Amino acid sequence: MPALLTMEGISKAFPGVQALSKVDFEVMPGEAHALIGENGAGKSTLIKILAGVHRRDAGTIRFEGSDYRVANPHEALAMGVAVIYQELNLVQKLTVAQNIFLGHEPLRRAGFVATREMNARAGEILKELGISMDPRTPVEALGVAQKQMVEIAKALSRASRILVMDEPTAPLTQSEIEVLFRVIAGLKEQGLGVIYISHRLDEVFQIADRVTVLRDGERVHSSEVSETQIDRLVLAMVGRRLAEEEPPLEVPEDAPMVLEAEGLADGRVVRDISLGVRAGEVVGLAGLIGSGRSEFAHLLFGSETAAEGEVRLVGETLSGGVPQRIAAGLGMVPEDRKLQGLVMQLLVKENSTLATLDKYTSGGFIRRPAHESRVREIITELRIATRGPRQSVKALSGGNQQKVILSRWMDTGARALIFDEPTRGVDVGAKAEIYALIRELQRRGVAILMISSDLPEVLRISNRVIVIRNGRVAGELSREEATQEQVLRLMMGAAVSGNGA
Amino acid sequence: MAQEAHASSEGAALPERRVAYSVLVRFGPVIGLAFLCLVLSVTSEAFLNPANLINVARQVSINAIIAAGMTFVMISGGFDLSVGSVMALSGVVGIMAMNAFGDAAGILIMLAVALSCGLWNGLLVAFARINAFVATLAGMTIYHGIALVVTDSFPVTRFGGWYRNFGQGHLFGLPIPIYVLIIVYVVAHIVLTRTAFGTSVYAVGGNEEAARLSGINIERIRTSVFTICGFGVGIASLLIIGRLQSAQANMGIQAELDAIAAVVIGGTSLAGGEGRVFGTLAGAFTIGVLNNGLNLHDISAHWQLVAKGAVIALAVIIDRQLVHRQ
Repeated sequence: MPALLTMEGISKAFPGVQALSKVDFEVMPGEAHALIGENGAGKSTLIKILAGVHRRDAGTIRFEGSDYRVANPHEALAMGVAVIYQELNLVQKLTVAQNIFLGHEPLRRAGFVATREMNARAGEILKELGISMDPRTPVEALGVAQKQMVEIAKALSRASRILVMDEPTAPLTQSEIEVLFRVIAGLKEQGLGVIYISHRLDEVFQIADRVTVLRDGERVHSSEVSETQIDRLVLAMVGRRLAEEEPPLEVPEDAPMVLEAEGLADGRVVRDISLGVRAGEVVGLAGLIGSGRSEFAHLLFGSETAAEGEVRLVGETLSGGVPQRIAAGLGMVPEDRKLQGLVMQLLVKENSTLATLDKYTSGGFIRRPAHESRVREIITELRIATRGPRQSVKALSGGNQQKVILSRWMDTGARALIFDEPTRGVDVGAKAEIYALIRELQRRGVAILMISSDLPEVLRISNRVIVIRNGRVAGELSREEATQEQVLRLMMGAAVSGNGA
Repeated sequence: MAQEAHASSEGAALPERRVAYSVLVRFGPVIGLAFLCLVLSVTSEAFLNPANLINVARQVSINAIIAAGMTFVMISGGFDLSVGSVMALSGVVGIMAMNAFGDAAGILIMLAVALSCGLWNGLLVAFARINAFVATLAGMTIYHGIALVVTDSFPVTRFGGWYRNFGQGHLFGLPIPIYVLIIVYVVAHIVLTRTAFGTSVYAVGGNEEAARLSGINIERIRTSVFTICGFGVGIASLLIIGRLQSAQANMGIQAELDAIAAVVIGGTSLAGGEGRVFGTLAGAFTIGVLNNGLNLHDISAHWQLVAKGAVIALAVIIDRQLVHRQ
């Protein structure tokens, strides 16, 4: 049987990052092919290329036996590729039938919409899906699961041949998930190809025939679902490069406790996390996406308000928001460089001192020479590849942009730093330099909490690993105990036993 | 230098064409203004006459001063529709207060009123988290309403008094408003480019989340920019009432449109994070020179509106194109 969709050697680069390199992906008619990987692995980029949102730099796509070239999502839809994003694309005020036929309404001769015919045809499509829903219901009156069904019906009304679903089960309850899976099984019987993106690996085994894992823009695993296991997939997702480099610095026995969290909870994702990081210690915080690791970081830093629990720095309870905590000696390198880290319109010098500008001002005025010469020192110290303090950060590579953000905390006299994914989307060389920097901070006695979804990285630079699952501490491993298997076991816990979150 | 060698090895250097575009983006408003002046100096003999140029500068000064404050607000990602009403309210209060308490006290009171209006806008936007468009639209209506209430919709006048010098006075042959204009712009430029506060304004407009996670007090910055804008309007209002020796609740209508137009023509991004006060100055002069040129050519005031709109659209189109290629 010829493949419905064949993507070969797909590459795509964005400024500063290679989002995809030579990725192959294939979907057979009647097949559900799961696409998995950590955030930033390249899943969305691949889908957006298929959907005509991005243009590929290299590679070929064949769809139903012929060359597939689309310039925009509209053309992709016309070709028969429908994508259901997490953010559903429905017009709330219109009815189910109006949404299903939006843009291709059945018309009467004078150009008016044939409402009755439209409702009837929408009803048929819904019936085929095995869904009982009145096509005249306004979409805003529906629940999330039903809205998803409307999206699927919309795709079917367009005679789509491939349906891409991005994390469809994330907002659904268990019984709704079962209905969705029944519908997907029905679509497969009709010969549609389904591309299924999910972080829930147990679902992959329930619904998919094949699974492909992306990591750092490369295809690292692809197999029949029946021929693989959940831990092999997790290992592929988080990487198998083993740490060979020098071990982290030893933490003296009597090193004082610097950063402590006690019973921290946000009332949503973070349920109850207590931990402590000592001076000169690197604690790795591991956990799957959705485990609450980044949310926990924001609670520590005061950028989100904790519902319960407290944070202490060198024994003092921290109160107030970010400015107070920075003043107390805390710093954070946030997860998303572009959204939370850099001000793209500003220069290197301003970005690298955004948290410490006051140090270079007298009477409110920035002392330019002192400021720029300090930034020049930082550039040399961190080996940031830039033409100088006055270059725009936009022009830097991902790794160098990340170093600019790190450099923000060099001068605050921080006692404790939180690194959330410090090496995501960063090339190997910059990674090594960031590790060296972490060692240097360690040597200076800074307490470091490092969140990373790159497991080898966590194992390589942490003195201790704490694993978070479902917003709680699932376990703590000393450097000796912390092996890939142990960490994985703690990370997945629930996923393996199959009782979900 | 070491880091420069490092940079070129990673290809971090900007291609020359990009540099050319970024220069064009930076000086675009000035180039546009220069071009306009060139055309007018060829087509009209009166244009380059010093008296005409001084007159243009004096007329432009009011809008330019308001637009300077507006630039702060817009770089921070905000918007202020209330400037016209603030001008009217502070103007009428100023005249009334001067009549009651004398020039000096009256001027202080009117500046305090303008500053308070801006502060109120800022508090609404920063702390009550009301969209700037809506918050200042409400302010625009409220301040205008108060101005009508306190004057009972009649003009208020004050003949005599040294305050008139702000509108009518001359120093070394140049009108006082031009000196005020220069001072305002130099101060605004220094604050935006040389102070930590200025950098924070750009950071808040460019990426609020990054600014917040760097410990910048977002609320304080937002409140401050609106307050600065209000204060600037107070100064502009003083120049106007000094010239007219009167004020009324309906003055300043549509002043916000001219101010925003000047900022936009000057290359400040509506999305925030980018912009320069001297761009705004060029924008304000572009509008003023354009009006003057059309006057010199005896083209009706109605057509001037059309021309002004066309220039705004053109400036933004060119700016977007250049930024896109950069």
